[in-house]
This record gives sequence, C-alpha cells and structure tokens, in this order.
Amino acid sequence: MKRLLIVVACLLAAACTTTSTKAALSVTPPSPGATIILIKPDIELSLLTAAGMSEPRADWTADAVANVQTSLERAVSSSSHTFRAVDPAGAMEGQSGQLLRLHEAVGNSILVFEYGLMPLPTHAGAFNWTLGEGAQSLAEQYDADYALFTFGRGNYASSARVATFVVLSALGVGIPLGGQQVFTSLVDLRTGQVIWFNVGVAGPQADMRNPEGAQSLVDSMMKGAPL
Amino acid sequence: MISRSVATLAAGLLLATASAAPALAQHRAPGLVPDPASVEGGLWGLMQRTEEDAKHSADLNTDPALNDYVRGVVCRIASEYCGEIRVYIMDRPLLNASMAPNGYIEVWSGLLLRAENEAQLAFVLGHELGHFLENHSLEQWNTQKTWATAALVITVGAGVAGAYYNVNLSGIGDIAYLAAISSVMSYSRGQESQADAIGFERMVAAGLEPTAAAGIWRQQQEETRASSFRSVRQSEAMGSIFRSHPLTAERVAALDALARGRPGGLEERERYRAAIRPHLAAWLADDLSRRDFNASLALTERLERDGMDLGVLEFHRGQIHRQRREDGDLELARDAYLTSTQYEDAPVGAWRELGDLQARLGDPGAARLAWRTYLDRATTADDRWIVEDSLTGLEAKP
Repeated sequence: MKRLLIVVACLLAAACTTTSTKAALSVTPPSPGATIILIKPDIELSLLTAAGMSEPRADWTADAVANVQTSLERAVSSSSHTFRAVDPAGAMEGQSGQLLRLHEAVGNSILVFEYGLMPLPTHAGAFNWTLGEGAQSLAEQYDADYALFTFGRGNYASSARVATFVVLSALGVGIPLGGQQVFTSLVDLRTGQVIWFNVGVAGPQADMRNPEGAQSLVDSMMKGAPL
Repeated sequence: MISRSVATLAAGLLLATASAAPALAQHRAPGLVPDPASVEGGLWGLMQRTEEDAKHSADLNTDPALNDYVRGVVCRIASEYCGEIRVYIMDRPLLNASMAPNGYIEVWSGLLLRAENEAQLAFVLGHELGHFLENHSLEQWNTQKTWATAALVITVGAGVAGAYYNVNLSGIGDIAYLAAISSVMSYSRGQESQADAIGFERMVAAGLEPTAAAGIWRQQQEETRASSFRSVRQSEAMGSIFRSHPLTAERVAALDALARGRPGGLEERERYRAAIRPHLAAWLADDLSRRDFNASLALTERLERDGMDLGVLEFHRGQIHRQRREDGDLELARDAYLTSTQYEDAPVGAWRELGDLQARLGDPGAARLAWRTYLDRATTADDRWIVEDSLTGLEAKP
C-alpha cells in the first residue's frame, strides 16, 4: 500500500508540463515588426512496449507535427512580429540546409551540456551558443530576422507497459513509463546567436497527439519567450 | 517447484534459439504503402528521415550515367518493383550495400569497385532486395519485441520465485536475456541466408551467371586473407551465436550448392567495367585511405586479370608500393609506374611519380625523361612548378 502511494505521488508530481529556460544575457529581444520564420517542428514519437522498446509511430509523429505547428502559429498570432512558416523538407539543399542541420546539432549540444550532468568548461559562464555568422544566408533567403526552432522526441507507454509497471511496482521495482521532451530555440539570424532556449517535459495534460494537448504544451513552452 | 519450472522455461528458451528461423513467405506486393499507425508505417517514417540524409550526403555520387546503370541492374532483376525503389550510390571505400524497409537502397563504391561483373552486382542487389521483399526489418523488429518480452517475463518470474523461496535466481534472468540476444542473432542469420537465396534466384532468372553469387564472396575471402592487418585476417575464423551474419565460408558453400547443375548465364564483364570506368581511378584512390596495402594489392591484381584498364591499375599499384614503404617497394613502385606509362590510359601523374622514383633510385637520365614527358602532357596541372623545380635541381647537378 505504501509503495502504491509513492507511485501515485510520483505521477502527481509530473502532472504538469515543466520547463527550464536559458537566455543569452547580452542580447536584446526582437524589436517590434521583426520577421520571424517558424521552422516546421522536428518531432518523433513512439510507443513504449512492455519490455521497454520504443516502437516508432508515424501517425502520432505526423499528428504532433501538425498540432504543434498550429499551436505555435496561434501562440504568436497576437505578437507584433511577422511570422512565416518554413518547411525544412523543401529547404535542405545548399547552405540553408546545412544551417538547419547545424541547428539540430547545436540544439542537441545545448541540451546535453547546458541541461545535462556534464557542463562544458568553455560554456561554464553565460549562455553563449551560436550558429555563426553564416546564419545570415538564412536571413537573406527568407528575408527574416529570427528563426524559431522546435524539436521533440518521446514515447508513450503501451497498456502492456503500464501493466508491467504496476506488477513491478508491487515488487518494488520502478520502470520508466515513457515521456516526451521538447525544446524550442530562438536564433538571431543576423548574428547566428541562440538568444533564447527552453526545454520542456510534457505533462499528462500536454499530449501533443491531440490539438488541445499540443496547445497546452506550446503555451507552457512559449510562456517566457521574448516575442 | 516454481523455480524448477522457471529454470525449465529458460532452458527451453536456449534450445528454441537453435530452431528460430524466418519462414519464407510470399513477397510483399509491389507498390505497397503501410498504414502510418502500423509498426511498418513507423519504420517507414524513420527511414524517410535517413533517406533525406542520404540525399544530402557529401558522399553521394550523382553521376547520371552510373546511377542509370545501377538502377538498370535493379530493374533487370526486379522489374515489378523497379518504379518504387530508389538507388543512392555513396563514394565510400567499403564493400557494402543496404536496403531500407521503405524501399531505398544504398550502394557503396567499395562494392562497385569489388564486383567483377554485372552478375555479381546483380546478386548483391538481389540479396538486399530480398530483405525488402520479405519485410525482414519488420520481422526482425517483431522478433526482438517477442524475445524482449519473453525475457522480461522470465526475469520477473525468477524474481518472484527467488523472493518466495529466498534464493538468488537472478542468473536465470541473465540466461533469459542471453538466450533472447542469441535467438535474435540466429534469426538474423536465417534472414541473411534467405536473402542470399532470393538474390541468387533473381539474378539467375535475369539470365546471369549462377557461379557469380559465390564468386563475389570468394573474392572477398581472398582479399581478407591478404590483409595487412591480423585482426582482419582472423575476423572470419570465429563463429558465434551472437553473430548477425553467417560466416562467409558457409555462405559460399550454400551458394555453390544452389549453382550446381544450373545452366550457365551471362557475366557481362565488359559492360560492367565500362559503367564503372569513369570512377575507377577515384575509387582506387579512396581505397588507399584504408591503408590496408596488401588487401589493396590483392584487389588490384584481381582487377588486372581481365586485361582492362591496365594503365590506371598499374599506376595504382605504384601508389600502393610507394606508400607501403617496405623493403623493395621503391623498385616495385618504379616498375609499376613504368608499366603504367606503356598503356594508353595511363594517368598523367604516372610520369611525375616515375620521375621522382627514378631520381631517388639514382637514374637522373630516366628521371629527366619522365618529368619532361609529364610537363609535355600535363599542360595545365597546378603542380607543374614543383616538377619544373625538380628538373632544374637535377640539371644543376654535375
């Protein structure tokens, strides 16, 4: 009984989306009227099987990409900036394609070294990450000042996984029940600098496979955005 | 009592690994697109991303003639799937080809360099196609899932029984996991053998030579045995229940058995060499980056047996000896460059290297002649000034 209570407490603790923001100190936020490109979210979702394998789900992935995209557009609609959606699938050629891939590498590095257990000695102080001045070519190609990237990976437990969880909890063994992590980053295309970065872990109410959940997730993610 | 039944179950699992093999089913229907909500749809989704990466890879070989040729070979052995299969040729110096479950195939230049004829290439492409036609990725995924679940159930069972009888039965869980891994690998070896058989039948049905299938593996064995590295030479000797592919010797024996009694077919040697000829020099140079000089020598000798491209191949032999730097390599390199210059297709660099070696081996007259020929032929080369300078240095000597 005591163990079951602990389990319930754990579940309640994760009941809402938790985010953790980092921002570059010396950079001013976008001035009113700036043009910002919304890069189509890069999301992959899978099913967590009983034994803990992640089974890719193309339908969830497609739904989540569409839902998060719509929610992002809604979240920024009241701002004074101009937003334009860009689908990287049609933009992977040439230098802009290289930059989009570079952002994926930089974003994941931020995740590992700013949020992970091993900070880089060279990044110990202020938050200071950049794509380099080459990012200007994205600015020119899309006639934009900033780019907003969204990246999400995660899995959802199957019912068999939940049953395994319950059985093992009774034996005093804890196993993960799946989870989804998202990051968004705002890049100044004139300098290449990542000026704002936010990492979120989705709560049960923020299931991006449905439109309401995606909106809840995006609202939490964008709450402190300098937009 | 419970612990004994758990132990029996684990032992049964280990025994089952010996018999786990994929069943040959009907090929997938051409043009089949899976439901996005299915496991196969999920695998396709992942592979589409990988395919995007392949499309934009710096290694991608975009020569239209070569791509048309390889695509033509795919269509020759699988006309009904011709429209849905995408071919990507990668300039990477290892013998490799792979097919993704969503129907795209990567062919590495190391394979194109090593296949001797169209029949051999068709066999390897047919093998990869076999994985696609039989949905092997999906089967493999489902097998892994089943065994992972079985291992989990046994481990939990052992844990419960152990707690109840107050004994440590964690060893049974370990056995269950090892059994699961070995059975997945055994399944994978079964799939490889099945793909070999499919590749063989498709190649033969296209009118190509049956012995070519075992032939490409024999060549690979030859090259492996010739390697400069002991680890490579010994890599084939160790069989294991944890291997994903069958031993080459077993594959050769199986393919020999298939070819026995079959009427001969076409090899298409010259057509094949003509298709790869424009890339031969570049791929050979790439192969040197592996720095497995003795394997490269074995490969060069084999390619020379057909009596084609001797200028390019002898130049490459010179390059290998020049970089290997063992006793006598300077002379061997010089001889190879010299032989190369006797052929119409000798690369112009052969005279530059020949001049360099003649100078080092103390024959300034021959060096002068070779360098002058280089300057006559390489009228626009960037390194002319180096050769001119070497020539001046040589002439200044008494």
